[in-house]
Amino acid sequence: MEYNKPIPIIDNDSKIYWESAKNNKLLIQYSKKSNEYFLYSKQLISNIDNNDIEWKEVSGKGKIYSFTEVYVPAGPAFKEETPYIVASIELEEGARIISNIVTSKKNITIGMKVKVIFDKQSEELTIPKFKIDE
Amino acid sequence: MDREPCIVGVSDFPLEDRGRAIGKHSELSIQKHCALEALRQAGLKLSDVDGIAVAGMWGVPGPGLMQPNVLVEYLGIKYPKWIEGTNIGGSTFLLHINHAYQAIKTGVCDTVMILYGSLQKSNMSRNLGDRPAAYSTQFEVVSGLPLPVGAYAMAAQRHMHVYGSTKETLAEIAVSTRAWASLNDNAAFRDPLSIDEALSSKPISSPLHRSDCCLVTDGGGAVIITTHEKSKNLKTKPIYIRGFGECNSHSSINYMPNMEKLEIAEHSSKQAFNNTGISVKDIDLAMIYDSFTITVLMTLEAIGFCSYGEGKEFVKNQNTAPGGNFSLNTNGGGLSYCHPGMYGIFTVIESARQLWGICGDRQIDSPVTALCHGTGGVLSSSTTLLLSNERE
Repeated sequence: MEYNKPIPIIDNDSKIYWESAKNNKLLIQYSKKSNEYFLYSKQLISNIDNNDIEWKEVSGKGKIYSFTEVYVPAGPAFKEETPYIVASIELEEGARIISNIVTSKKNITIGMKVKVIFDKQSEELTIPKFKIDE
Repeated sequence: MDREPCIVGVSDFPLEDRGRAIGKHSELSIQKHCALEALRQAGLKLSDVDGIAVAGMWGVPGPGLMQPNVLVEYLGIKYPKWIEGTNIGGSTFLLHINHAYQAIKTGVCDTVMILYGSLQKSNMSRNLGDRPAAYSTQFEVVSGLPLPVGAYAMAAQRHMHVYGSTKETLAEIAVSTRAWASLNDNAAFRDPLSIDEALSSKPISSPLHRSDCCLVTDGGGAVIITTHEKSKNLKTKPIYIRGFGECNSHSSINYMPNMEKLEIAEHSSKQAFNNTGISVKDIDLAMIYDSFTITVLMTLEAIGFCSYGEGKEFVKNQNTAPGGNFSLNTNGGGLSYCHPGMYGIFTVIESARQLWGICGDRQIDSPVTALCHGTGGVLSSSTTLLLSNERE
């Protein structure tokens, strides 16, 4: 079936995230100097330069920082799976990333532990999503 | 020459049928109508205008990327000395006023016109899912986060978790705002709303319901600012710009430092109050951008009308409704009066009218000082203005 949802406009700050997801790996950026992880935009304590940044594989474990259960979808492509959950996940390594929580559970709460899964949509796109880690 | 900048004219576009612009209009003719109306109120002519600020969401991609050029051509303004077209979301127009203040005060220009127009309801150009998955928002757009509501929903969820606010807290704001709208002839939604009706309205993106979300309407507005010297010969009493501040922090909600705290509003309001001798206790009217009920709750706390986490007590028992202890969003807000996409300019229009004492049924008792606050993007940008009918 054709994938009709929005496709990421991949750039230099996200390329390795999406590329590594195709191999079922979760990689985000890391600053050697400040010893902090981040994805895309830096919210680091120290000033860093590009030479300081490398991509590193992370555990894929974290907890829900915040979330919303969506009842009015972001366009017709998401209609079929509505309601669905979008969350900001705080990884064990400290960075926050936004993705879906795939679960049949009700009563999702902030602070719940989650674990990455890889949802292959096509040869070009695999989306890192999360499930509740029991 | 007394160059102290002051507001001398305002206007908003008349609406009918739940927020549709009356008559046949384009986004440009709406702005022309508002411009001429605000100039007429002040007793000025278009040829007096030598500075222009405009922002909106029309004409993009296309000429709308350079809106000041379009408006100067369309209105035939010759030749502006000061031009402003920054767009930081719905908070933008307060930022335009901040910058206009500085330009007028320092002698760059004398009379600035700030303009806004939208036909998003008539054109059905608003939806939750048409944004490109680009830059830092690529992850949330791919995940189907409806924007902007889903981002505000995540902030609300976080605020409830950290501070114990509830859906009832948010409903208090929806209901009190509707009560103000019922006193405004130009408000799109004037029928009474109860707490129970608010709580049982359609769920949109948890924990937010329909009644927590701003309207989708057409609309437009204009604000005219000139020097105190020039204001002496005009028809309105000058409204003084006593303080202003602006701040921003992120583009995607995921990069908001603490999702439960609107820290940028703390910064912009501190800047605004700084060295004015005015404190939050002196504010007679707060016009706080209510894109969503949660926006109001977080802004009240960040500005310091109450401390962080105390907003739920502050808005309880219809404290901010007509007859309550605190006058908030007396035009009926973006929740019930109008929300053409970028609402910020209406906080200024209503404040000026309240300070002039021309608000009819919804007029509050002899206000001296009003606070306007704009929020743009997804809690991304904050702008604060302190307005007063007293100079000192």
